[in-house]
Parts: sequence; C-alpha cells; structure tokens
Amino acid sequence: MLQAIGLTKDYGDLRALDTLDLTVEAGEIFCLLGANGAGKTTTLNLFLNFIQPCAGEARVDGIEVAKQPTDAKKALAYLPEQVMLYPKLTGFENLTYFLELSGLRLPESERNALFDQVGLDQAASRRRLETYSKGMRQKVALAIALGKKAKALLLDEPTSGLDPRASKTFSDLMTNLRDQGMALLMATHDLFRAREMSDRIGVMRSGKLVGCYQTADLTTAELESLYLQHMSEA
Amino acid sequence: MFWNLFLKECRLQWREKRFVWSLVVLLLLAVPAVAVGFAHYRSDLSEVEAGAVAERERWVQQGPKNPHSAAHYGIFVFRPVSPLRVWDQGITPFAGGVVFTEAHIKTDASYETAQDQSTLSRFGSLTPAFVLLYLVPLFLMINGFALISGEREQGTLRLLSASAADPRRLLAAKWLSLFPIVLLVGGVMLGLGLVLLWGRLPAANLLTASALCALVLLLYYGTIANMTLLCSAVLRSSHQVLVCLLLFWMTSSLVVPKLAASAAESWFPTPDREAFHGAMKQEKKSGMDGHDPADQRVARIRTETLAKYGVEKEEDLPINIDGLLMQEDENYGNKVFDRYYEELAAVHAQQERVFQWSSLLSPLLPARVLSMTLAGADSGTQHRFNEAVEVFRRDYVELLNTDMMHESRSGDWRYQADEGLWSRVPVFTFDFGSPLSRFATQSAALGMLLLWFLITGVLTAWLAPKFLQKVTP
Amino acid sequence: MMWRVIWAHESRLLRRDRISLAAALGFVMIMIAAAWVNGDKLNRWEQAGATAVAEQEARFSAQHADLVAMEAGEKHYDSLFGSPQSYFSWAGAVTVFPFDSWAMLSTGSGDLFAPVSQVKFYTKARVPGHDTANPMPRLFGAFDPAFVLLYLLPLFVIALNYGIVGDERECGILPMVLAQPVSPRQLFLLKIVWRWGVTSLVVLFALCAAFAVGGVNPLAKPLALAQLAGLVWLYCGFWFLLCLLVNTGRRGAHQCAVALTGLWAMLLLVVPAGAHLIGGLLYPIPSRIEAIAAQRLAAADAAKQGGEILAKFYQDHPELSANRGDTYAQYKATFQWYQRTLAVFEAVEAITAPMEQDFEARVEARLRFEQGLALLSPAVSVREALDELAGVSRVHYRAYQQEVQDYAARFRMFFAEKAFGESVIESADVARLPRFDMAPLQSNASVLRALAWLALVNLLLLAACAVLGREIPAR
Repeated sequence: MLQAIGLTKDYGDLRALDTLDLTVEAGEIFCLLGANGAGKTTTLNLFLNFIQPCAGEARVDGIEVAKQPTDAKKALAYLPEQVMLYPKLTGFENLTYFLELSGLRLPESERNALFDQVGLDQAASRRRLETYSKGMRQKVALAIALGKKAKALLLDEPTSGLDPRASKTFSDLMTNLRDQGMALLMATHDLFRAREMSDRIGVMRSGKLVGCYQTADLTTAELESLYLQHMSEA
Repeated sequence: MFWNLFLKECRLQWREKRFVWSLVVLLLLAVPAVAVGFAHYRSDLSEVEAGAVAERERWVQQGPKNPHSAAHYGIFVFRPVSPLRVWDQGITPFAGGVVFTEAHIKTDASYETAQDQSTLSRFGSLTPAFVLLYLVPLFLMINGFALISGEREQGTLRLLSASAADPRRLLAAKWLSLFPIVLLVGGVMLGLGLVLLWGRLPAANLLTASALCALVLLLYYGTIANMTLLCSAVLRSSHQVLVCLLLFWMTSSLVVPKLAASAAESWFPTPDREAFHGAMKQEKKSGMDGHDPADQRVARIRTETLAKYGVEKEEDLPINIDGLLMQEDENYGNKVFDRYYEELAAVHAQQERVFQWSSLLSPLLPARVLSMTLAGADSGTQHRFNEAVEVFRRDYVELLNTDMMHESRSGDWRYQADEGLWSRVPVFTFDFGSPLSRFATQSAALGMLLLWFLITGVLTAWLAPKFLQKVTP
Repeated sequence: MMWRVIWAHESRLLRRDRISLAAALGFVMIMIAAAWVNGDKLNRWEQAGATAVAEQEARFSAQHADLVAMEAGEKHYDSLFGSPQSYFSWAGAVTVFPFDSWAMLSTGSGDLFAPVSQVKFYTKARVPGHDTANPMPRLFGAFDPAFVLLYLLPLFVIALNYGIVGDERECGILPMVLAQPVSPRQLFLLKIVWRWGVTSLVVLFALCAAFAVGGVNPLAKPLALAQLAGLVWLYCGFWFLLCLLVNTGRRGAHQCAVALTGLWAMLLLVVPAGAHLIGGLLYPIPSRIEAIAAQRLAAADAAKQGGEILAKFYQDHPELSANRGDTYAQYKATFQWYQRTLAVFEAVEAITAPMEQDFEARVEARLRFEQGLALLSPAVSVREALDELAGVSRVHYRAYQQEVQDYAARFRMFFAEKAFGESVIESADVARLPRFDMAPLQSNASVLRALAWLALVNLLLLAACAVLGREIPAR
C-alpha cells in the first residue's frame, strides 16, 4: 500500500533520507524508530508530498505521490504529533470540513457513527475544539481518516504527550484500523508502544533504514537492545 | 549581570532579519531627508532674500509719487526662512508665505506652497521629523513587540524566570536594548543637521535646538518603548502584541491627529475669509457695533481739526487734513482689525486646545507640536510673523500719512514725495526668537509628552514584572 | 464544488470570529463618523458660498433699485463716491467652487482653496487659500471617507488576513489541511476570493452608510458608483493578494504581519513622501515670489508708459472706442483713470503671461512626473481617483481656477466697455453684469487610470501568487 523506492531527500549538503526502500502492506502497522534527525518525519513528509524527493519514488496504493499528489492523498490520512484543527469549530464541524475537502459529503448519522468508532461521544463532538485535550483531537483526526476511508495512515509521534491510559486507547484504535485492512506507517520514539502495536519495526539512522524486524520475534528488552546497538554504531 | 542581559538583547535583535532590513531602510531615508531638506532650505532662503532685496529696491526706486499712492503701491513681505526648517517643515506648506501690505487693509499671508503641489504632498514630506516621529516608532514596535511575549512563546522566559535574574533588571535591559539603533539613526540625523547648519544661526541656538529636540525624541521614544514592553508583557501572544501596538501607532499617528483636526474645525469653525473680510470692511464703514459711522467720524475730525488750529477753512490749516483723515481712518480700521483678529486668534486658540486635549490620546501630537515649534514652523510662529507684518504695515502707512499731513496742504493731491521718504520706511525683519523661548510657549505639549512618558513608565514598571512571572502563553 | 466547501467553511469561521466581526463593525462606524465629519465641513463651505451669493444678489438688487430711483429722478448722489453708478459699487463679484454632492467622500484639495473668492476688475484674479483658517488642521489632513478607504481599509485587510496561511502553519492546522486531496493553490485562492468578496461588501455597505449620512443618493450617479465600487474592490484585492503573496513563503503569521506592516508603511508613507522628494529635486518649482517680482516690475514699467499702453489698448480693442457717449461728460477724468488702469492691467497681464505660462508649465511637468512616480504606490492613484470621484481633485480646482480667470476677464471687459464708452453703470446694465456660474466638472481620467493600473497590478500579483503558491510549505 505504501511504497518507498530508492527515496532520497537532500537539504543542501545534508542527506536527510538515503535511498530508502520500504513497503507497508494493507493490514500492517510499520513503525519507524530512530533518533531525532534520523529521517522518520522526512519519510512521512515525502509520502504526504509536503516536500519533493531528490530521487526515488513514494507511492500510495500504486500512485506516485510527486506526480499525482491529489490522487495519492485520497487514499491517505495523516495524524501529526500535535493534531491541530480549527479551534473555533466543533469536532463535528471539523470532521465535516475535512471530509468535504476530500470530496465526501456523508449524512449526519454516518458522521456520528465515525465518532462512535473512535470513542468520542456525541456531546463532546458538538463542543468547540478549543476545549479538547490532545487525545480528543487525535480522535477527531482518526474520525477524519475513517471517514475518508483512507487506505493508509501516516502517524508522526502520535503517542508523545499522551497519558498511559490514552496511549493504550490509542494503541487499541490503531490495531483496530489495521484489522480493518488499513496500512499504517508510524514514526515514533516510543519503543514500548511500537513493539506492542506494530507488525514490523524499522530502525533509521542518518537517513538510512539500518534494520527491519518482525515484532513477533522480539521482546521489548530485545528491541531496546537492538535499537541502542544501532544507535551506538553511529 | 545587567550589562550581560543588555548585550544579549542587542545581539538577539541584530540577528533578526527584520531588524537589519528596517535599519537599512531608516538610514537610507534619514540621510536624504536631511540633505534634501537642507537643499530646499538653501533655495527657499535665496529666493526669499532675493525677493526681499528686489522688493526693497522697487519700493525705494518707485519714483516721485503721492505718499498715499505709494501706500497703495504697497510692499510685499516674504516670510523669512528659519534654518531649523530643515528639521521639520511643519505648517509652512499650508500657511501663506507672502503678504501684500498696503493702506487701509490688513491682509493675510497667502500663496501657500501646498497649492502648487501634487496629490503626493498630501501623503507627507520626507523630512527628518517625518522619519523620526512616524517611522522610527514603527521600527521600535516591530523590533520590540516580541521582547517578552516571544520569550514566553519560545519557553525561554520559563528558564529566565527560574534563574536568579531580577525581573526589573531584565525589563530595564530589554527596554534599553531598544535604544542603541534609535540613537544611531537619530544621532546620524542630528549630527548631519548640526554640520550642515553650523554657522547659519548662532551656535548657542543651534545647540539648544538640538538638545531640546533630543529631549523631545527621547521622551517620545521612551513612551513608545514603555508601550512596547508593557504590551509584550501583558498580552498573551506576540500576535496580539503586534496587532495592539500597530493599532496604537495607527491611532496615535494617523487617526487621532486627523480626528482632532476635524473636531477642532467642526467645534470651533473659523469664519469664511470672504465673510470675515466683508464684516471688517462693513464695520469699518458703519462704525464698530454700528456706532460712529465713517462719514460721521470724518465730519467730526474735520470740525475738531479746524477748531484745534482756530481756522474756518481747510485751506487755511497748516497741515494736509486728508493725511490726518487717512491716518485717523487707519487708526480706526486698526481697532476693527484688532478686534476681529483677536476673535479669530481666540478661535485658533480653541482649536489648538482641541489638539492639546487630543494629546491625551496620542503622544505623537505633543511631540510633533514641539518639533514644529523648535523648527520655527508652528502656528504660533506664523501668528507672530503675521503680527510683525501688521506692525510693519501700520508703521510705514503712518509714516507716509504723517509725511503727507506735514509736507503738503489740504486738497493738494499733486504733492509727491521721493526716494528720501521711501528710504525712511524700515526694512522688514522678523526674529524667530531663540529655540528655548519658542519651546517655552509649548509647555502644555511638553507636559503632555512628559505625562505620557511617566504614566506608561509607571505602568510598565508596575505591571510588567508581575506578568513576567507568567511564563506560559 | 470545492468553492462551496471552502466558502461555507470560511463563512462559519467568520461567524465564530468575534474580533473580525467587531473589526468590520468598527470599520463601518469609522466610515460613518468620517462621512459625518466631512459632511459637516462640506456643509459649512457650501453655506459660505450660498451666503456670499445671496448677499451679493441682495446688494446688487438694492443698488439696482437705487439706480432705477436715480434714473427716475427720485434719488440723487452728489458724487460718484458711494453712488451705485460708480464702478466700484459693482467691482466685487463672488465666485463659488461648485461642490459635487459626492464631495462628502473626500476633502481633496478643498482645504487648500477657499470655497468662495472675489473677483475685482482692477486686480488679478486668483483663488486664494483659507487665509483665516488655522493651518494646523491642514497639516494633519482631513478625517474623511477617503482617508478611511486609503489608510484604514488596508490595515483592516491586513489585520484579518496577515496569517491567512501563516496562521494555519503556526497553529499546526496546515499539515492536516495539506494532507487532504486538494490543491493548496486552489484552496488559498478560494479562501482569499471569499474574504475579498466579503470585505468588499462590508466596505460597500460602509460607503452606502456614509452616503446615507451625507444625505446623498449614490444611485443617482450609477456610472460613478460602479467606478467607486470597482476601485474599492480592486484596492481591496491589491491588499488581499499582497497578504497571500507574503504568506506563500515559509513565514509564520507574525513574520507575515511584520512584512505586511512594513509594506503598508512603505506604500502609504515612504514611497509617496520619497516620490514627492524626488519630484521636488528633479522638477523644482520656484515659489510664487519670482512671479510676484515679475508682476511688480511689469506693473511699474507699464505705469511709466501710460500713454503708449493706452494707445496699444485701443489698437487691440477697436470696438471699445466706437461707442463713446457724452452723457456723463462731468466724469471724464474718472473714465480716463479707469481707461488707463484697465489698459495698464491688460499690459501687465500680457507682459507676465509668458512667465505665468512657464510657471504653470513647470507645475504641470512636475505633476506629470509625480503622477508617473505615483504608480509606485497604488495608494496615490486611488487617492487621486477618490478625489476625482468626489469632485475635489487637483484637476477640479485647476479647472475652477481657469474658470475664475475667464470669468474675471469677462467681468473686466464689462467695465472696460463702460469705461471706454464713458458711461456710468445704468439700471439696464445690471442684468448684463456677468455672474459666475460653473457646474461641477465631470472628469474620470484619474479613476480610469487607477482602475486600469490596479487591475494590472492585481493580475501581476495573482500571477505571482499562482507561481509561488504552487508549493506551500506545511511547516
């Protein structure tokens, strides 16, 4: 579903991403781990067409993002580290607007159902977003992703700043999405959650994918040890 | 400690692109503003001097003529040019610079230069005062708006507050850090002005004017710096600070002065010039308040004069009674003029009081008034010039009437005076007064500016440290 | 139908934005206040004109009655002094600037020239300034709707749109928005078009309120109203597109605000003042002192040549010597004095005409040059256009000055005919005495120039936005 083929990005003399080859299948959660500046967010930005690659291709559902960004984004949803939406609008109005931007006009009952799916109650969805916590804002963003019927979801440090309970709820939601057939690519520092919810984990260093592991084969301690090993090679 | 804080603030400002850009723009505007102002001063001065010399020559060499004809031939008086006008043109373009003086009539200065200018002139002239009073405060605000709110948003205020730095010292350092560049721009302009004008007016006057100007600017910039720091400390986000400061600048520099101007004219309207002159002419003819009309006055003077000299016929008088009658008519007319012009001056004074009170809403107004006053381009100086011209007119018309009265006999309209008499008419001179004496006439404006500085200063010193403790946006 | 989605969204955001709504209301209120204040001033000026004309007609009428009485032998004056037969009794005639009903829009050059002046047949006609007025108010300029449109409208636009992209970027909404399948260029252009339209409507509403306060029906001049609406729309658009252009980079909202404030100060303060400065340097206009000196010299020379001047006058006006009568032979000396005075006057006019023309030509050259420089800031073109729509532009006052000069010539010729015909004023002459009558000048050259220039500039800005807006950085 998500495919990076020799994806490369330079910022001046700095190579932020170095010939990344990566595939995330439908119904799979792939976590990218790495230190700050390792290239995780750059990878997500390339899939979102926020930046242009210097070489290689980013593909979403077979569509090359740089060439057909609008089509690619139809199949894509995004959850940034800090989900920020229009604070003066309600959660419901934000959902409606973002879905309409994607060309979707869903009946009210369906939109309400989306909030039910992500665990945000009706009353809360009618309040202005300026009263929401980070977890609630994330739920609105997830409702948008569900409403779009996105085939792939990109997540950038989604669990940072969440309390353990919210983090667990979030984790459950992700696995639920995965089970519905969505491909999830998540950049994170949270080794524990990464191991808990992902199917595969990639470790990035200096723009390169230096390791790729099946989560099922690892314990959290082993993952931490592997991660630190990769980092110490720098 | 304080020095370190101050240096850190200056360093941070230097690293801002907007700071460098605005500094370059200001310096690029400052130098031509002074230089071109000086060039205009020189050309205006040479025109006025040449005009005055030519006019004097024409007057003296007008040839033999009856003194009353000469009194109607009249003398054009040109407003002298103050060297300090390089600094601020003030009302000069909107006030007449030429007065035609003649018998019987008090005329106002006319030929405003603004009448011959394009629409561009209504947007303001690029003078040093324009740069320093309008643009530099904007520069101060743009560079200082994030001094505290920016640190709060970046989270550095949290660290600063956690350190042992005294909040008042921190504020003082930030406040002072706004000034080096302002001093640089102001210093360049004042210094250039001093060099160009050196020797064109007494050194003491030039230095006094520069010192007073620096005082006005420091008070004005101090007020702006206070406002900037206060808003930056009190308001939640840099956006709000910026919008609030720009609103303040716009209100203070554009809206309030224009509103004050319109309100002054609306509440205390000046009479229409035709109606004003018509009323004076009528009152002169029919007598003040309808008493003592001109023909009765003439008849009475005739009778009194004949009685005084103990003669029955005007031909037997040792003087020319027409000269006397004309002088008496002048004296009566002068009383009428004085009354009307006193009323007009009272209206103008009321209008200026509107400006004074409006200064409570705009620190620019008192600063501008003081700047114009120092430059000798204020309405007070214009008023003194008009009065000086009127004294000159009355004196020379009296000299001509007296000559006619004593040098000819009644009914002798063929009497002609010559260059000897014309030369006795003094050359018109006008003393702008010392900058200090002019400045002293604007104590209300100085008081207002001081009030602004003190109130905003006290508010900043009182409120800002409290809000400095508020470390989150 | 992306436009529907975005416009509905913008509309919802606006409804929730109390600050913007308050700003819009404030703008309308300021406009109304400006119209009221300027209308009040205009009323005073119009009143002064009406009073002056009424007083003149009352005086003429009383003098006419006196003449009729004199001719019927019912009244007698010992001399011409004070008699309605004397030229001096009719010497001053008022000229009044014809204000257009739209003058409440702008003060224009109205504060530089007296609304009422007097023409005398023995002095040079000129439109004076407001000699009795305090120059301080003129220094700061008028608080009128033109000021509100010119200075405050851009600030209103900037205040509400400085962060049209930057704000969303700083708040972190932009990545969410740009992750949707919509072209950023289309998205922000649609946003700006909606805001531009709404702002234009607010401004037009404010203008209609201003017209209502001024008691003017703008629909009475549909073409002018269309031009005004176009001007406001394009000027608004200029600032909107500038907001968008500044926002296309990677700037945050407050960087955009600073940049836009800087541009505002440049375009409304620095560029006009700088252009004026350059105009003054390259095309210096001598003060009126030189012209006065030349006139004085010419008058002195002409006075010395009395006889020759009179002979030349007869040569130039042979018709004037044909109708000489001898009914008033007792006033021969007076007539001769008038003949000499008028002949000298004309001679001085002829001598000084080249210098005056040169002066005017220099003024014109400078105005033309400054008009070219004014293109650097659309604000100057808009000010000229607004002044023109209000009928108080330089062009209007120059036309008025010319009309006053022409009227003065006709007025003088009336007395010349009497003086050279050696006749006093008779009751039948009163109806022939020229009166000043000028209709408001209809001109729209500046408006059309401003419209064309703004349209061009806006197109360029739009193109720049389209090019630079292809990539809008999400962060």
